Amino acid sequence: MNETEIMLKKLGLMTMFNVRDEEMPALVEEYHVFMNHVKALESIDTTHVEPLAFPYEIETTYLREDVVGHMISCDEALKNAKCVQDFQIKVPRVVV
Amino acid sequence: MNYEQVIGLEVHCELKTHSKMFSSSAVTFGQKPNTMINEVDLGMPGNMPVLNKRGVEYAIRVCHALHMDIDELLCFDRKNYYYADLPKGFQITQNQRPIGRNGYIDIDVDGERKRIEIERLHMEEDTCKQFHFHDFSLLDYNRAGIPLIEIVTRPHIRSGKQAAAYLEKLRQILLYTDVSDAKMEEGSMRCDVNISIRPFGSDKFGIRTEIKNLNSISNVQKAIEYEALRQEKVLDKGGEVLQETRRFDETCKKTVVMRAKGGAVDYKYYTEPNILPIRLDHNWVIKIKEDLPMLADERVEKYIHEYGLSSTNAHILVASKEISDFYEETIQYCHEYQLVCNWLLGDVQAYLNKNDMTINETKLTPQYLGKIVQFIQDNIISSKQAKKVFDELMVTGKDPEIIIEEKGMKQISDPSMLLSIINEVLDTNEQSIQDYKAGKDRAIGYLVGQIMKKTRGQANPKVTNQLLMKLLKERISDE
Repeated sequence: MNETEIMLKKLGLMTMFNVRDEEMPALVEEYHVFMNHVKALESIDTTHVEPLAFPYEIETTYLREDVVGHMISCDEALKNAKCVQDFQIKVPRVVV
Repeated sequence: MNYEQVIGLEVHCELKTHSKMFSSSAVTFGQKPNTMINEVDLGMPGNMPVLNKRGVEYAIRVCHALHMDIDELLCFDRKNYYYADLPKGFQITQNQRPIGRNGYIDIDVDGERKRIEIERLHMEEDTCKQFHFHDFSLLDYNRAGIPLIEIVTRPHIRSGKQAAAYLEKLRQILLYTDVSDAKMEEGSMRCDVNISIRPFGSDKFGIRTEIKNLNSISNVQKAIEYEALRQEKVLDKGGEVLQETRRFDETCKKTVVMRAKGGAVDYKYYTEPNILPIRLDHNWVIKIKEDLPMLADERVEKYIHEYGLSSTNAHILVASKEISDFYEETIQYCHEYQLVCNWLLGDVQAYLNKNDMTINETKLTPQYLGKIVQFIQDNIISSKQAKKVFDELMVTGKDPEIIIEEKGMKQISDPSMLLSIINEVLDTNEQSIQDYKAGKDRAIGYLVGQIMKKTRGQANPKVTNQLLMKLLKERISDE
Protein backbone atom coordinates (compact mmCIF):
# COMPACT_ATOMS: atom_id res chain seq x y z
CA MET A 1 0.00 0.00 0.00
CA ASN A 2 1.26 3.44 -0.83
CA GLU A 3 0.83 6.47 1.46
CA THR A 4 -2.54 7.52 0.00
CA GLU A 5 -3.92 4.03 0.41
CA ILE A 6 -2.72 3.80 4.01
CA MET A 7 -4.32 7.18 4.78
CA LEU A 8 -7.62 6.18 3.13
CA LYS A 9 -7.64 2.87 4.96
CA LYS A 10 -7.11 4.70 8.27
CA LEU A 11 -9.78 7.32 7.51
CA GLY A 12 -12.15 4.52 6.60
CA LEU A 13 -11.60 2.76 9.91
CA MET A 14 -12.11 6.00 11.81
CA THR A 15 -15.49 6.45 10.15
CA MET A 16 -16.47 2.80 10.72
CA PHE A 17 -15.79 1.60 7.13
CA ASN A 18 -13.39 -1.23 6.49
CA VAL A 19 -12.24 -0.49 2.94
CA ARG A 20 -11.59 -3.78 1.13
CA ASP A 21 -8.53 -4.21 -1.12
CA GLU A 22 -10.61 -4.54 -4.28
CA GLU A 23 -12.40 -1.26 -3.43
CA MET A 24 -9.16 0.64 -2.99
CA PRO A 25 -8.25 1.47 -6.65
CA ALA A 26 -11.66 3.10 -7.28
CA LEU A 27 -11.46 4.98 -4.00
CA VAL A 28 -7.94 6.27 -4.79
CA GLU A 29 -9.15 7.48 -8.19
CA GLU A 30 -12.13 9.29 -6.65
CA TYR A 31 -9.85 10.71 -4.00
CA HIS A 32 -7.61 12.31 -6.63
CA VAL A 33 -10.61 13.79 -8.48
CA PHE A 34 -11.90 15.19 -5.21
CA MET A 35 -8.53 16.60 -4.22
CA ASN A 36 -8.31 18.41 -7.57
CA HIS A 37 -11.60 20.11 -6.73
CA VAL A 38 -10.21 21.04 -3.35
CA LYS A 39 -7.08 22.43 -5.01
CA ALA A 40 -9.26 24.65 -7.20
CA LEU A 41 -11.17 25.86 -4.12
CA GLU A 42 -7.94 26.48 -2.25
CA SER A 43 -6.83 28.97 -4.88
CA ILE A 44 -9.58 31.33 -3.66
CA ASP A 45 -8.40 33.87 -1.10
CA THR A 46 -10.55 33.35 2.02
CA THR A 47 -8.61 35.58 4.40
CA HIS A 48 -10.99 37.22 6.88
CA VAL A 49 -13.89 35.08 5.67
CA GLU A 50 -15.62 33.13 8.45
CA PRO A 51 -16.74 29.58 7.65
CA LEU A 52 -20.39 29.52 6.61
CA ALA A 53 -22.47 27.29 8.83
CA PHE A 54 -25.93 28.58 7.97
CA PRO A 55 -27.42 29.67 4.65
CA TYR A 56 -28.16 33.12 6.02
CA GLU A 57 -26.31 35.23 8.51
CA ILE A 58 -28.89 35.97 11.14
CA GLU A 59 -28.90 35.85 14.90
CA THR A 60 -31.91 34.80 16.91
CA THR A 61 -32.89 35.77 20.42
CA TYR A 62 -35.44 33.11 21.39
CA LEU A 63 -34.88 31.05 24.52
CA ARG A 64 -37.41 28.48 25.74
CA GLU A 65 -38.95 29.06 29.19
CA ASP A 66 -37.96 26.33 31.64
CA VAL A 67 -41.31 24.55 31.79
CA VAL A 68 -41.81 20.78 31.65
CA GLY A 69 -43.85 19.84 28.59
CA HIS A 70 -44.32 16.96 26.19
CA MET A 71 -42.93 13.55 27.11
CA ILE A 72 -43.53 10.10 25.70
CA SER A 73 -44.48 6.93 27.55
CA CYS A 74 -41.97 4.25 28.50
CA ASP A 75 -43.68 1.86 26.05
CA GLU A 76 -43.29 4.32 23.20
CA ALA A 77 -39.69 5.04 24.15
CA LEU A 78 -38.76 1.35 24.08
CA LYS A 79 -40.79 0.45 20.99
CA ASN A 80 -37.81 0.39 18.62
CA ALA A 81 -35.44 -1.37 21.00
CA LYS A 82 -34.44 -4.89 20.00
CA CYS A 83 -34.01 -6.01 23.57
CA VAL A 84 -35.47 -4.60 26.78
CA GLN A 85 -34.92 -5.51 30.42
CA ASP A 86 -36.36 -3.75 33.50
CA PHE A 87 -37.68 -0.89 31.35
CA GLN A 88 -34.19 -0.31 29.97
CA ILE A 89 -32.60 -0.94 26.60
CA LYS A 90 -30.30 -3.93 26.74
CA VAL A 91 -27.15 -3.73 24.62
CA PRO A 92 -23.90 -5.68 24.47
CA ARG A 93 -21.45 -4.42 27.05
CA VAL A 94 -18.94 -2.04 25.50
CA VAL A 95 -17.01 -0.03 28.07
CA VAL A 96 -15.03 2.82 26.57
CA MET B 1 14.78 13.21 41.19
CA ASN B 2 12.40 15.89 42.44
CA TYR B 3 9.26 16.24 40.37
CA GLU B 4 6.55 18.82 40.10
CA GLN B 5 2.93 17.80 39.54
CA VAL B 6 1.01 19.49 36.73
CA ILE B 7 -2.72 19.03 37.15
CA GLY B 8 -5.76 20.32 35.32
CA LEU B 9 -9.35 19.55 36.30
CA GLU B 10 -12.48 19.21 34.20
CA VAL B 11 -15.69 19.42 36.19
CA HIS B 12 -19.11 18.55 34.82
CA CYS B 13 -22.04 19.86 36.78
CA GLU B 14 -25.74 19.11 36.27
CA LEU B 15 -27.95 22.17 36.50
CA LYS B 16 -31.14 21.89 38.56
CA THR B 17 -33.52 23.23 35.94
CA HIS B 18 -37.05 21.85 35.64
CA SER B 19 -36.67 20.79 32.01
CA LYS B 20 -33.77 19.61 29.88
CA MET B 21 -31.24 21.75 28.02
CA PHE B 22 -32.75 21.37 24.54
CA SER B 23 -36.10 19.67 25.20
CA SER B 24 -39.08 20.15 27.48
CA SER B 25 -38.90 16.75 29.18
CA ALA B 26 -38.43 16.75 32.95
CA VAL B 27 -35.15 16.80 34.83
CA THR B 28 -35.43 14.19 37.60
CA PHE B 29 -33.33 11.82 39.67
CA GLY B 30 -34.24 8.24 40.57
CA GLN B 31 -37.46 7.92 38.51
CA LYS B 32 -38.61 4.80 36.63
CA PRO B 33 -36.18 4.32 33.70
CA ASN B 34 -37.01 5.79 30.29
CA THR B 35 -40.06 7.76 31.40
CA MET B 36 -38.67 11.31 31.51
CA ILE B 37 -37.86 11.62 27.84
CA ASN B 38 -39.24 12.73 24.51
CA GLU B 39 -38.33 12.52 20.84
CA VAL B 40 -35.67 15.24 21.10
CA ASP B 41 -33.77 13.39 23.85
CA LEU B 42 -33.89 10.17 21.85
CA GLY B 43 -32.57 11.82 18.70
CA MET B 44 -35.62 10.94 16.61
CA PRO B 45 -35.49 12.49 13.14
CA GLY B 46 -37.35 15.73 12.54
CA ASN B 47 -37.07 17.16 16.04
CA MET B 48 -35.41 20.45 16.79
CA PRO B 49 -33.50 21.38 19.94
CA VAL B 50 -34.63 24.61 21.66
CA LEU B 51 -32.35 26.12 24.29
CA ASN B 52 -33.56 26.35 27.91
CA LYS B 53 -33.53 29.95 29.21
CA ARG B 54 -32.91 28.98 32.85
CA GLY B 55 -30.02 26.75 31.78
CA VAL B 56 -28.38 29.80 30.22
CA GLU B 57 -29.17 31.92 33.27
CA TYR B 58 -27.51 29.37 35.57
CA ALA B 59 -24.43 29.17 33.34
CA ILE B 60 -24.15 32.98 33.45
CA ARG B 61 -24.45 32.97 37.26
CA VAL B 62 -21.53 30.56 37.58
CA CYS B 63 -19.48 32.44 34.95
CA HIS B 64 -19.96 35.64 36.92
CA ALA B 65 -19.12 34.01 40.25
CA LEU B 66 -15.92 32.68 38.62
CA HIS B 67 -15.01 36.18 37.33
CA MET B 68 -15.27 35.11 33.68
CA ASP B 69 -15.76 37.04 30.44
CA ILE B 70 -19.22 36.18 29.15
CA ASP B 71 -19.86 35.70 25.44
CA GLU B 72 -23.31 37.12 24.73
CA LEU B 73 -23.55 35.35 21.38
CA LEU B 74 -24.35 31.70 22.06
CA CYS B 75 -23.06 29.23 19.48
CA PHE B 76 -23.28 25.46 19.68
CA ASP B 77 -21.34 22.61 18.07
CA ARG B 78 -21.77 18.92 17.55
CA LYS B 79 -19.31 16.58 19.20
CA ASN B 80 -19.55 13.35 17.23
CA TYR B 81 -18.82 9.95 18.64
CA TYR B 82 -20.51 6.61 18.38
CA TYR B 83 -21.52 5.12 21.68
CA ALA B 84 -24.70 3.81 23.26
CA ASP B 85 -24.95 6.62 25.79
CA LEU B 86 -25.61 9.11 22.98
CA PRO B 87 -28.87 8.45 21.16
CA LYS B 88 -28.22 11.10 18.52
CA GLY B 89 -24.67 9.97 17.77
CA PHE B 90 -23.45 13.41 18.81
CA GLN B 91 -23.59 15.65 21.83
CA ILE B 92 -24.59 19.30 21.53
CA THR B 93 -21.86 21.34 23.20
CA GLN B 94 -19.97 24.61 22.87
CA ASN B 95 -16.56 23.86 21.41
CA GLN B 96 -15.63 27.00 19.47
CA ARG B 97 -17.23 29.64 21.64
CA PRO B 98 -17.77 28.68 25.29
CA ILE B 99 -20.12 31.04 27.14
CA GLY B 100 -17.41 31.82 29.70
CA ARG B 101 -13.66 32.35 29.38
CA ASN B 102 -10.76 33.37 31.60
CA GLY B 103 -12.00 33.02 35.15
CA TYR B 104 -10.37 32.06 38.42
CA ILE B 105 -10.85 30.71 41.92
CA ASP B 106 -8.58 31.67 44.82
CA ILE B 107 -7.78 28.81 47.16
CA ASP B 108 -6.04 28.73 50.53
CA VAL B 109 -3.77 25.76 51.14
CA ASP B 110 -1.32 25.48 54.05
CA GLY B 111 -1.74 29.16 54.85
CA GLU B 112 -0.95 30.28 51.30
CA ARG B 113 -3.35 31.79 48.81
CA LYS B 114 -3.14 30.55 45.23
CA ARG B 115 -5.10 31.60 42.16
CA ILE B 116 -6.32 28.74 39.97
CA GLU B 117 -7.10 30.07 36.52
CA ILE B 118 -10.12 28.71 34.70
CA GLU B 119 -9.83 28.47 30.95
CA ARG B 120 -13.45 27.97 29.97
CA LEU B 121 -17.02 27.18 31.00
CA HIS B 122 -19.35 25.77 28.38
CA MET B 123 -22.91 24.47 28.23
CA GLU B 124 -23.83 21.04 26.95
CA GLU B 125 -26.20 18.13 27.52
CA ASP B 126 -25.76 15.03 29.65
CA THR B 127 -25.63 11.52 28.20
CA CYS B 128 -27.77 8.55 29.18
CA LYS B 129 -27.05 6.50 32.27
CA GLN B 130 -25.51 3.12 31.67
CA PHE B 131 -25.53 0.20 34.03
CA HIS B 132 -22.83 -2.31 33.15
CA PHE B 133 -23.23 -5.99 33.93
CA HIS B 134 -20.99 -8.94 33.15
CA ASP B 135 -21.77 -9.23 29.44
CA PHE B 136 -24.44 -6.63 28.76
CA SER B 137 -25.37 -3.05 29.61
CA LEU B 138 -28.73 -1.43 30.36
CA LEU B 139 -29.54 2.07 29.16
CA ASP B 140 -31.75 4.60 30.92
CA TYR B 141 -32.22 7.75 28.85
CA ASN B 142 -33.83 9.81 31.63
CA ARG B 143 -30.49 11.55 32.15
CA ALA B 144 -29.95 12.23 28.43
CA GLY B 145 -30.32 15.94 27.77
CA ILE B 146 -30.05 17.22 31.37
CA PRO B 147 -28.27 20.60 31.26
CA LEU B 148 -24.58 20.42 32.05
CA ILE B 149 -21.87 22.99 32.44
CA GLU B 150 -18.25 21.96 32.07
CA ILE B 151 -15.61 24.00 33.87
CA VAL B 152 -12.00 23.51 32.77
CA THR B 153 -8.97 24.83 34.66
CA ARG B 154 -5.59 25.67 33.19
CA PRO B 155 -2.90 23.20 34.33
CA HIS B 156 -2.11 25.33 37.37
CA ILE B 157 -2.79 22.86 40.15
CA ARG B 158 0.32 21.39 41.78
CA SER B 159 -0.94 18.86 44.34
CA GLY B 160 -3.85 16.69 45.39
CA LYS B 161 -4.45 19.05 48.30
CA GLN B 162 -4.77 22.04 45.94
CA ALA B 163 -7.12 20.05 43.71
CA ALA B 164 -9.32 19.22 46.71
CA ALA B 165 -9.32 22.88 47.84
CA TYR B 166 -10.28 24.01 44.33
CA LEU B 167 -13.12 21.47 44.16
CA GLU B 168 -14.42 22.44 47.62
CA LYS B 169 -14.48 26.10 46.58
CA LEU B 170 -16.08 25.34 43.22
CA ARG B 171 -18.70 23.14 44.87
CA GLN B 172 -19.48 25.93 47.31
CA ILE B 173 -19.92 28.36 44.38
CA LEU B 174 -22.25 25.94 42.57
CA LEU B 175 -24.32 25.56 45.75
CA TYR B 176 -24.41 29.24 46.72
CA THR B 177 -25.30 30.37 43.19
CA ASP B 178 -28.15 27.87 43.60
CA VAL B 179 -27.64 26.22 40.22
CA SER B 180 -26.92 22.62 41.23
CA ASP B 181 -27.02 20.06 44.03
CA ALA B 182 -23.34 19.47 43.22
CA LYS B 183 -23.33 16.01 44.80
CA MET B 184 -20.31 14.05 43.65
CA GLU B 185 -21.65 10.81 45.13
CA GLU B 186 -24.85 11.13 43.07
CA GLY B 187 -23.06 12.28 39.93
CA SER B 188 -24.50 15.78 39.74
CA MET B 189 -20.90 16.99 39.99
CA ARG B 190 -18.22 14.91 38.24
CA CYS B 191 -14.51 15.48 38.03
CA ASP B 192 -11.89 14.26 35.57
CA VAL B 193 -8.25 14.79 36.41
CA ASN B 194 -5.42 15.36 33.92
CA ILE B 195 -2.07 14.81 35.57
CA SER B 196 1.56 14.72 34.51
CA ILE B 197 4.83 15.28 36.32
CA ARG B 198 8.06 17.02 35.29
CA PRO B 199 11.42 17.71 36.92
CA PHE B 200 11.30 20.84 39.08
CA GLY B 201 12.30 23.87 37.06
CA SER B 202 11.34 22.35 33.73
CA ASP B 203 8.81 24.26 31.62
CA LYS B 204 7.96 21.31 29.39
CA PHE B 205 4.89 19.21 30.08
CA GLY B 206 5.29 15.51 30.71
CA ILE B 207 3.02 12.83 29.23
CA ARG B 208 -0.29 13.05 31.04
CA THR B 209 -2.84 10.51 32.15
CA GLU B 210 -6.51 11.15 32.68
CA ILE B 211 -8.31 9.80 35.76
CA LYS B 212 -12.05 9.26 35.57
CA ASN B 213 -14.86 7.91 37.80
CA LEU B 214 -14.02 9.90 40.90
CA ASN B 215 -17.01 10.07 43.21
CA SER B 216 -15.77 12.26 46.04
CA ILE B 217 -13.40 15.14 46.59
CA SER B 218 -11.27 13.09 48.95
CA ASN B 219 -10.95 10.39 46.28
CA VAL B 220 -9.75 13.02 43.80
CA GLN B 221 -6.99 13.93 46.23
CA LYS B 222 -6.11 10.29 46.92
CA ALA B 223 -6.11 9.42 43.21
CA ILE B 224 -3.78 12.33 42.40
CA GLU B 225 -1.40 11.45 45.20
CA TYR B 226 -1.27 7.82 44.10
CA GLU B 227 -0.94 8.64 40.39
CA ALA B 228 1.85 11.20 40.89
CA LEU B 229 3.83 8.65 42.89
CA ARG B 230 3.20 5.97 40.26
CA GLN B 231 4.46 8.25 37.47
CA GLU B 232 7.55 9.14 39.54
CA LYS B 233 8.39 5.46 40.00
CA VAL B 234 8.01 4.84 36.26
CA LEU B 235 10.31 7.75 35.35
CA ASP B 236 12.88 6.93 38.04
CA LYS B 237 13.18 3.42 36.63
CA GLY B 238 13.91 4.95 33.22
CA GLY B 239 10.48 4.10 31.86
CA GLU B 240 7.93 6.21 30.03
CA VAL B 241 4.52 7.33 31.27
CA LEU B 242 1.90 6.18 28.79
CA GLN B 243 -0.91 8.43 27.64
CA GLU B 244 -3.93 6.57 28.96
CA THR B 245 -7.24 6.90 30.75
CA ARG B 246 -7.24 5.43 34.23
CA ARG B 247 -9.85 5.04 36.93
CA PHE B 248 -9.54 5.12 40.70
CA ASP B 249 -10.18 1.80 42.41
CA GLU B 250 -11.59 2.73 45.79
CA THR B 251 -10.97 -0.66 47.39
CA CYS B 252 -7.26 -0.85 46.70
CA LYS B 253 -6.76 2.94 46.58
CA LYS B 254 -4.95 2.74 43.25
CA THR B 255 -5.46 4.10 39.76
CA VAL B 256 -5.88 1.34 37.18
CA VAL B 257 -5.84 1.46 33.38
CA MET B 258 -9.20 1.79 31.62
CA ARG B 259 -7.91 2.28 28.11
CA ALA B 260 -4.86 3.45 26.21
CA LYS B 261 -5.18 6.73 24.39
CA GLY B 262 -3.30 6.82 21.11
CA GLY B 263 -3.38 10.57 20.64
CA ALA B 264 -6.35 12.89 20.99
CA VAL B 265 -9.74 11.49 20.02
CA ASP B 266 -11.12 13.15 16.90
CA TYR B 267 -14.67 14.22 17.67
CA LYS B 268 -15.16 15.88 14.27
CA TYR B 269 -16.68 18.98 15.81
CA TYR B 270 -18.79 21.17 13.58
CA THR B 271 -21.38 23.90 14.06
CA GLU B 272 -24.75 22.56 15.28
CA PRO B 273 -26.92 23.30 12.24
CA ASN B 274 -30.20 23.12 14.18
CA ILE B 275 -29.42 26.02 16.52
CA LEU B 276 -28.81 29.42 14.98
CA PRO B 277 -26.51 31.73 16.93
CA ILE B 278 -28.49 33.28 19.81
CA ARG B 279 -27.81 36.89 20.83
CA LEU B 280 -28.50 37.38 24.54
CA ASP B 281 -30.21 40.54 25.74
CA HIS B 282 -27.38 42.55 27.32
CA ASN B 283 -29.67 43.98 30.02
CA TRP B 284 -30.83 40.49 30.95
CA VAL B 285 -27.21 39.37 31.41
CA ILE B 286 -26.52 42.43 33.57
CA LYS B 287 -29.59 41.71 35.67
CA ILE B 288 -28.49 38.10 36.26
CA LYS B 289 -25.10 39.37 37.40
CA GLU B 290 -26.67 41.95 39.71
CA ASP B 291 -29.08 39.43 41.20
CA LEU B 292 -26.36 36.85 41.90
CA PRO B 293 -27.06 35.30 45.33
CA MET B 294 -24.52 36.13 48.04
CA LEU B 295 -21.57 33.73 47.85
CA ALA B 296 -19.96 31.92 50.78
CA ASP B 297 -16.94 34.25 50.98
CA GLU B 298 -19.21 37.30 51.15
CA ARG B 299 -21.31 35.65 53.86
CA VAL B 300 -18.16 34.95 55.90
CA GLU B 301 -17.23 38.66 55.68
CA LYS B 302 -20.74 39.67 56.74
CA TYR B 303 -20.80 37.23 59.66
CA ILE B 304 -17.46 38.47 60.97
CA HIS B 305 -17.86 42.20 60.42
CA GLU B 306 -21.60 42.77 60.82
CA TYR B 307 -22.57 40.02 63.24
CA GLY B 308 -19.35 39.85 65.24
CA LEU B 309 -18.82 36.09 64.85
CA SER B 310 -15.35 34.60 65.00
CA SER B 311 -13.70 33.66 61.72
CA THR B 312 -13.82 29.98 62.73
CA ASN B 313 -17.55 30.07 63.47
CA ALA B 314 -18.27 32.03 60.27
CA HIS B 315 -16.39 29.45 58.19
CA ILE B 316 -18.13 26.52 59.90
CA LEU B 317 -21.55 28.12 59.29
CA VAL B 318 -20.97 28.57 55.54
CA ALA B 319 -19.40 25.13 55.12
CA SER B 320 -22.98 23.90 54.70
CA LYS B 321 -25.30 26.08 52.62
CA GLU B 322 -28.32 24.58 54.38
CA ILE B 323 -26.98 25.59 57.80
CA SER B 324 -25.94 29.03 56.54
CA ASP B 325 -29.36 29.59 54.94
CA PHE B 326 -31.02 28.47 58.17
CA TYR B 327 -28.86 30.91 60.13
CA GLU B 328 -29.74 33.76 57.76
CA GLU B 329 -33.45 33.06 58.21
CA THR B 330 -33.27 32.59 61.97
CA ILE B 331 -31.64 35.97 62.52
CA GLN B 332 -34.61 37.56 60.77
CA TYR B 333 -36.63 36.48 63.82
CA CYS B 334 -34.00 36.95 66.50
CA HIS B 335 -31.06 39.35 66.36
CA GLU B 336 -28.93 37.43 68.86
CA TYR B 337 -26.34 36.60 66.20
CA GLN B 338 -23.85 34.87 68.48
CA LEU B 339 -26.42 32.87 70.44
CA VAL B 340 -28.16 31.65 67.28
CA CYS B 341 -24.76 30.60 65.91
CA ASN B 342 -23.93 28.79 69.17
CA TRP B 343 -27.20 26.89 69.02
CA LEU B 344 -26.80 25.92 65.38
CA LEU B 345 -23.21 24.75 65.76
CA GLY B 346 -23.87 23.19 69.17
CA ASP B 347 -27.14 21.48 70.03
CA VAL B 348 -28.60 21.51 66.52
CA GLN B 349 -25.45 20.11 64.89
CA ALA B 350 -25.15 17.47 67.59
CA TYR B 351 -28.75 16.40 66.92
CA LEU B 352 -28.09 16.23 63.17
CA ASN B 353 -24.94 14.17 63.63
CA LYS B 354 -26.62 11.82 66.08
CA ASN B 355 -29.63 11.23 63.82
CA ASP B 356 -27.74 11.42 60.52
CA MET B 357 -30.09 14.08 59.18
CA THR B 358 -29.86 17.40 57.39
CA ILE B 359 -31.45 20.41 59.04
CA ASN B 360 -34.24 20.62 56.48
CA GLU B 361 -35.26 17.05 57.31
CA THR B 362 -35.97 17.96 60.94
CA LYS B 363 -39.00 19.62 62.56
CA LEU B 364 -36.96 22.65 63.51
CA THR B 365 -37.80 25.90 61.70
CA PRO B 366 -35.84 29.17 61.75
CA GLN B 367 -38.79 30.82 63.49
CA TYR B 368 -38.84 28.20 66.27
CA LEU B 369 -35.09 28.39 66.84
CA GLY B 370 -35.36 32.19 66.89
CA LYS B 371 -38.07 31.91 69.57
CA ILE B 372 -36.03 29.56 71.78
CA VAL B 373 -33.01 31.88 71.68
CA GLN B 374 -35.15 34.95 72.33
CA PHE B 375 -36.88 33.27 75.31
CA ILE B 376 -33.48 32.52 76.85
CA GLN B 377 -32.37 36.08 76.22
CA ASP B 378 -35.56 37.48 77.80
CA ASN B 379 -35.07 35.24 80.85
CA ILE B 380 -38.35 33.46 80.16
CA ILE B 381 -36.59 30.10 80.21
CA SER B 382 -33.15 29.05 81.38
CA SER B 383 -30.56 27.51 79.03
CA LYS B 384 -31.19 24.18 80.71
CA GLN B 385 -34.93 24.47 80.11
CA ALA B 386 -34.25 25.56 76.51
CA LYS B 387 -32.54 22.24 75.87
CA LYS B 388 -35.65 20.45 77.12
CA VAL B 389 -37.84 22.60 74.86
CA PHE B 390 -35.52 21.82 71.96
CA ASP B 391 -35.65 18.05 72.59
CA GLU B 392 -39.45 18.15 72.75
CA LEU B 393 -39.68 20.31 69.63
CA MET B 394 -37.48 17.94 67.60
CA VAL B 395 -39.87 15.08 68.45
CA THR B 396 -43.27 16.80 68.24
CA GLY B 397 -42.61 19.81 66.00
CA LYS B 398 -44.60 21.95 68.45
CA ASP B 399 -44.11 25.70 68.75
CA PRO B 400 -41.66 26.37 71.64
CA GLU B 401 -44.18 28.79 73.11
CA ILE B 402 -46.75 25.99 73.43
CA ILE B 403 -44.18 23.58 74.87
CA ILE B 404 -43.23 26.13 77.53
CA GLU B 405 -46.91 26.70 78.40
CA GLU B 406 -47.73 22.98 78.49
CA LYS B 407 -44.72 22.08 80.62
CA GLY B 408 -45.16 25.06 82.90
CA MET B 409 -41.59 26.01 82.21
CA LYS B 410 -41.91 29.76 82.30
CA GLN B 411 -39.15 31.12 84.54
CA ILE B 412 -40.06 33.31 87.47
CA SER B 413 -37.90 36.36 87.00
CA ASP B 414 -40.15 38.90 88.69
CA PRO B 415 -38.18 40.03 91.83
CA SER B 416 -41.32 40.75 93.87
CA MET B 417 -42.60 37.19 93.34
CA LEU B 418 -39.19 35.70 94.05
CA LEU B 419 -38.65 37.84 97.17
CA SER B 420 -41.65 36.40 98.96
CA ILE B 421 -40.66 32.82 98.05
CA ILE B 422 -37.06 33.35 99.19
CA ASN B 423 -38.23 34.89 102.46
CA GLU B 424 -40.49 31.92 103.08
CA VAL B 425 -37.53 29.57 102.55
CA LEU B 426 -35.26 31.62 104.79
CA ASP B 427 -37.95 31.72 107.51
CA THR B 428 -38.07 27.96 107.68
CA ASN B 429 -34.31 27.36 107.39
CA GLU B 430 -32.76 29.33 110.20
CA GLN B 431 -29.95 26.74 110.54
CA SER B 432 -28.78 27.40 106.98
CA ILE B 433 -28.53 31.13 107.70
CA GLN B 434 -26.36 30.35 110.71
CA ASP B 435 -24.24 27.95 108.62
CA TYR B 436 -23.73 30.67 106.02
CA LYS B 437 -22.75 33.10 108.73
CA ALA B 438 -20.22 30.53 109.99
CA GLY B 439 -18.65 30.51 106.52
CA LYS B 440 -20.24 27.32 105.16
CA ASP B 441 -20.86 28.29 101.54
CA ARG B 442 -22.70 25.11 100.72
CA ALA B 443 -25.60 26.49 102.72
CA ILE B 444 -26.31 28.69 99.68
CA GLY B 445 -26.64 25.64 97.45
CA TYR B 446 -29.10 24.10 99.88
CA LEU B 447 -31.19 27.26 100.05
CA VAL B 448 -31.26 27.61 96.23
CA GLY B 449 -32.35 23.98 96.08
CA GLN B 450 -35.22 24.71 98.43
CA ILE B 451 -36.27 27.72 96.34
CA MET B 452 -36.17 25.64 93.18
CA LYS B 453 -38.23 22.95 94.87
CA LYS B 454 -40.85 25.48 95.88
CA THR B 455 -41.01 26.97 92.35
CA ARG B 456 -40.76 23.58 90.63
CA GLY B 457 -37.50 24.70 89.01
CA GLN B 458 -39.02 27.83 87.52
CA ALA B 459 -37.10 30.42 89.53
CA ASN B 460 -34.64 32.32 87.36
CA PRO B 461 -31.29 31.13 88.78
CA LYS B 462 -29.45 34.39 88.17
CA VAL B 463 -32.09 36.62 89.76
CA THR B 464 -32.65 34.10 92.56
CA ASN B 465 -28.96 34.04 93.46
CA GLN B 466 -28.71 37.82 93.50
CA LEU B 467 -31.82 38.21 95.67
CA LEU B 468 -30.85 35.37 98.04
CA MET B 469 -27.41 36.89 98.69
CA LYS B 470 -28.99 40.28 99.30
CA LEU B 471 -31.58 38.92 101.74
CA LEU B 472 -29.03 36.74 103.58
CA LYS B 473 -26.72 39.67 104.10
CA GLU B 474 -29.63 41.80 105.34
CA ARG B 475 -30.69 39.11 107.83
CA ILE B 476 -27.14 38.63 109.16
CA SER B 477 -26.57 42.36 109.61
CA ASP B 478 -29.96 42.69 111.38
CA GLU B 479 -28.99 40.10 113.98
